[in-house]
Amino acid sequence: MARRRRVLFLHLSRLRRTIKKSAIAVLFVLVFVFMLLNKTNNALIEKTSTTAEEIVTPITEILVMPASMLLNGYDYLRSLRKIDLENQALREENRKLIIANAKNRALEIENKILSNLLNYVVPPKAEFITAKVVAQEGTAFAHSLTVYVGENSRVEKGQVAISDKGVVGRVEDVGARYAKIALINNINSKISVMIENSRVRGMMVGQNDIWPDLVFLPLDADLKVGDKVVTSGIGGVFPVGLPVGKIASVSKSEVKIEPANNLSRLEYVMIVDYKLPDPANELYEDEHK
Amino acid sequence: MREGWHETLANWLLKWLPLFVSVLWLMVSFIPLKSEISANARPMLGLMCVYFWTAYRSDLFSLMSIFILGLISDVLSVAPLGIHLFMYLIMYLSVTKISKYINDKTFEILWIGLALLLPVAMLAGWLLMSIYYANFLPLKSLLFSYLISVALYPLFGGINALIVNNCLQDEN
Repeated sequence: MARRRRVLFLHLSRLRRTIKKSAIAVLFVLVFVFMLLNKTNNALIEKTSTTAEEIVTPITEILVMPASMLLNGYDYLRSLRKIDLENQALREENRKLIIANAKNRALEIENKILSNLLNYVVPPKAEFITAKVVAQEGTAFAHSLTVYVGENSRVEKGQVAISDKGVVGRVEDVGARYAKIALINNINSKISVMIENSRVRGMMVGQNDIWPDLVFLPLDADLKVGDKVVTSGIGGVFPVGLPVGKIASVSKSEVKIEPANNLSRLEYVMIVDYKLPDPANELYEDEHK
Repeated sequence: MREGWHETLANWLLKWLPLFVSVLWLMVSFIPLKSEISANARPMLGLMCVYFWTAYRSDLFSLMSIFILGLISDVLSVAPLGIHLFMYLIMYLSVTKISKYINDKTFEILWIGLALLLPVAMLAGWLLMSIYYANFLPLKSLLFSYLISVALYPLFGGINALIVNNCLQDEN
């Protein structure tokens, strides 16, 4: 009886070990299935991921509160010292801006008249919402922000995220109240850009590094450290001329761009719908008319 | 005597406590800290949780917990779905392989264990990501993440040890 019980116990423990081993194998297979489905932009994976994010993100937001209160308090104390100097600088800047504003108004009127003469088609007005950053990711594997966009915000995947200084990234996932933004230094970020002065075009590619790379440049491109980089407008997502950053380093193997924004200190971002027509869709529609 | 509902609930909560704690740590790793380091090289808190709980209480941190934790990490991240789960599984396998060397050992040994196993899981994830994007990812951020993770382990391990000592001691 005791021997039979021992044999049964041995069999059971062997079975348990086999199940455990095969469970690991099943999970590894599952990982590869997930990644393959992800690569094909599977709608089910996207939907499931977005729903799960909606559940998890509010908890992150609650956790963020005490940390952000502490950080804001520290920032406030630090800023008190600078307030007087900043006030003087702002007064001076305000004076200059009043003059510039008057000039701009004159130019606007002139532009309107000239546009009418040329029969220029005015592009649709951009719509935007301002969203609060609730979570940030910055590892060797991804760079992203999670922002609160509220309900019925009409934010869509692919829309542009900017801050006061320039482009921050692109909307990657949208849930009912939260949206995930892949930052410009994230590995899958690719934006068509150009050098502001020389109009040399290239592609800004994120590498999961601090600064993104500038690639696909013409061989004779004359680049200098400090050159301003703006969006080229090619691709139909970003309009022409949005500031992106400046050239930080030029070497034989790579050109690095320093983002115009400090990506680590973003509190609010603007998600903009420029309502630019997608050139690919337009061509498709034209061909099928 | 049959146990009451509150005892059943308490037992259930204790059983899943390591997972709850790990999910909380994971969310902490997403807090915006407005610093250059935190925006580029955050500690791998998810991997540290898998290491800690598999080494201390593998009976309460099963493959199911790793699966759930991996999925939550993947959902919160913009990295491809499955990458965190993959790293957690590698870490789980590595810890179970060397468990006899780290079980019931001092904190310093466990710290060295993490310092040795973390690069294995991180490099495996790095390789898979590089294959996925057909592009070698920079190793610099990976190295910084690793150093920060190892440096923060005493604090992280200390808080987790407090939880083990105060909530899970009777389970031993």
